[in-house]
Amino acid sequence: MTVLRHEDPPLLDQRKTPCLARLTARRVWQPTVAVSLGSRVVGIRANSVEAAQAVDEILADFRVPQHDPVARPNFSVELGAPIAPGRHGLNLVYRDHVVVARRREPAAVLRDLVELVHATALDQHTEQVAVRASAVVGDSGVTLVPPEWHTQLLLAQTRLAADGLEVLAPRVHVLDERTLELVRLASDKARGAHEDRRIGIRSWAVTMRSDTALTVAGAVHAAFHSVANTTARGPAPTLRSLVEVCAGVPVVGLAARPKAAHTSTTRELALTDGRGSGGKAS
Amino acid sequence: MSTSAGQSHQRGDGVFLRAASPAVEFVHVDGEAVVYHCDTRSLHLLNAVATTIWLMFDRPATVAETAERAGGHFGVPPESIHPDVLDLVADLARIKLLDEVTAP
Repeated sequence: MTVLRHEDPPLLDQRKTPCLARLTARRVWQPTVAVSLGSRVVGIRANSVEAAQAVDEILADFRVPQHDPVARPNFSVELGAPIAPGRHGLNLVYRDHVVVARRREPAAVLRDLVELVHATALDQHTEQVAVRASAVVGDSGVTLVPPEWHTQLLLAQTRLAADGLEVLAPRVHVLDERTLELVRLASDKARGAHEDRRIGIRSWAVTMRSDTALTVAGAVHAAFHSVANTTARGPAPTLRSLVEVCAGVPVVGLAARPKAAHTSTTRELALTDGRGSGGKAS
Repeated sequence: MSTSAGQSHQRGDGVFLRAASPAVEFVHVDGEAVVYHCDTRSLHLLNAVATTIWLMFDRPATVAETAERAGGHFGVPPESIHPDVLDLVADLARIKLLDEVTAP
């Protein structure tokens, strides 16, 4: 049994049981490796030696091998899981036992992994506001929709891609209120560049009791509880950031919808003119 | 200084003061206010009329004094707006956006 020493850093919570999917006696999870983001240690494991090497390589900047013995298997990476003899299936990332990224290309799922791992530390991010949302990128910018739609959007990735829309893997995103952009902190580090990638925010849909046109203040009120880093930044900076975002970006209030409508509504928001509180981006 | 006693906001004979930072943080945009109460961790959206009246309690005032001031602001007789101010003060005091204070 590993005993956590008092000097060990805080570990990311293991919210549910880790992934047990489809591994056999011949295919075992590799040992969990630790990465550090903010003040938190996140554990990641992979389904093969090659996959483990790929994870180690792409997260090299954040590796803290001294914490490998205590890290929990928060994320499980399954590259090229066989679906039949000689055939390989999707590349998957699990958070605990829930699939949070699925891609045909291993490189794409590894980029998702980096962003997902980064998102676990965004509650400690102090520079900009971080919000819980599912983000869909199209030619005209990124559309934010309620995070509870994310699972359906991941399942519809192929259909959305046919419309030129990409679902970002994380459910927490940093917004720059000065430039009205979503900031992808991690993805370019994974590619070796150290400049953040930025995408203009096209519109933001937040959950309301009914479909509602929102004033800027109404949008701030509706969006406040989606902020992930209020504790780290304080309520006053959070409110000010939201005012800037909601004044500049169309924010719409949408009533809860059945799962079957999540993809079509997102597609509509991302591909047609938005309406809402802000003006600059509509 | 807040008083612990009484429900005078229900009668309208108390003196009230707007709760301020660090207990309360707010933004004022296009006439409306979004107010976060740090102790209760509650968030409130005040419409334009409520915001105008809440901001009038930047110094200790009674309901009658505020109805007079609000009547002038909105161009209506104070007595016609007094019941609404009384109700609003009761609501704002209940959610701790107004503190009842001792008379200066």
